[in-house]
Amino acid sequence: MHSEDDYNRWIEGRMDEAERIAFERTLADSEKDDAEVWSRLKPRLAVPDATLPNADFLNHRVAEAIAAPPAPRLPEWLRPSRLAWAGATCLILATLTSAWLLPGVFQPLPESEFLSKVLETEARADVSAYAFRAPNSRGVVIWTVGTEFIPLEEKVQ
Amino acid sequence: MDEHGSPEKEWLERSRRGDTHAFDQIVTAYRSAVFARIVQIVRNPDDAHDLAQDTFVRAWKSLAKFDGRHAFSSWLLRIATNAAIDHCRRMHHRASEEWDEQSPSADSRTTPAASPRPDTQADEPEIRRRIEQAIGELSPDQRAVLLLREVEGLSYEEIAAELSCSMGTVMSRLFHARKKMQLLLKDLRDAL
Repeated sequence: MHSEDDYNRWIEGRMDEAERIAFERTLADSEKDDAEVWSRLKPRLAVPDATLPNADFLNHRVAEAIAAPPAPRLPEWLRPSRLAWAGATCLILATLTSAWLLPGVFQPLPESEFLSKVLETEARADVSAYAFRAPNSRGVVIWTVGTEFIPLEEKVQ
Repeated sequence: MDEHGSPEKEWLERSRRGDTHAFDQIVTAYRSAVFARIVQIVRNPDDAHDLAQDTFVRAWKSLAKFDGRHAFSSWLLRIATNAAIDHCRRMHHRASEEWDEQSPSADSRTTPAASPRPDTQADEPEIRRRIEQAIGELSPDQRAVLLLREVEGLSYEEIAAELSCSMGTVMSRLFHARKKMQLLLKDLRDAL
């Protein structure tokens, strides 16, 4: 039995001389074996009556199929482009609303009030303050240890 | 007028513009050829009728893709052939599934079925039945190549173009299809 590749190589002349001769010999042998049986079998392969029954009915069915209304379209508002625009608009509105509302919600406390709140809690957070003076300015560094114990609502500050 | 003396080009132009009446003329002109091509492959007139309808509907939807480089009839018959092969694949797949469900062993699939006793001469209907059975045992691709070659009389090159494969593939499938047919009909050798 030969593979598709053998046939392709034979057709395309990619076999060497010895291989080609051997291949053609097996083909010839096969043809010789088959010829008699095949000549008797071949006429019987066709479907005896291949005439189209109800020919006009076929025209009718084709005409019906191609004239059928196309599949119902999505409502206008469900079209992907519209949905994308609606999504983008909602996102912008949500961003603007947040930007307007959130600063009021998280209004930072005055520094003194914040420090006293931290100290009033039982968080045992150690707070150290270091004052420093630079040639043109002054500053205070507040160092807190144990902030993990500070209540959540204060931590936001 | 085209080479067949029918105003095919005009029908095609009008069909492309959505004229269903013009397309009806095309259906009338090619319905017999399309049906004959399909029925030889699927071997069942009812299925072939449905597939002929599908072929024309597919052609209608794809008219814009027909570039006119080849004859319209070749293009249409190619659609028909592929529709028939797809159908055979579906049937083959379904038959395999049913076989797997029903039979504990699939080893005996290529054994010629229902062989008549040597002392009984198979009559013509029996021979026909056995031939159909043997054709049904071929893979859809082997079946298509065998019938396009032996019944439709297409050249290797034409078959390769229709099935979008190489000539080597066509020859190999044909070789194996013939061998398998002969194996399956071995016991009918004298009755043929």
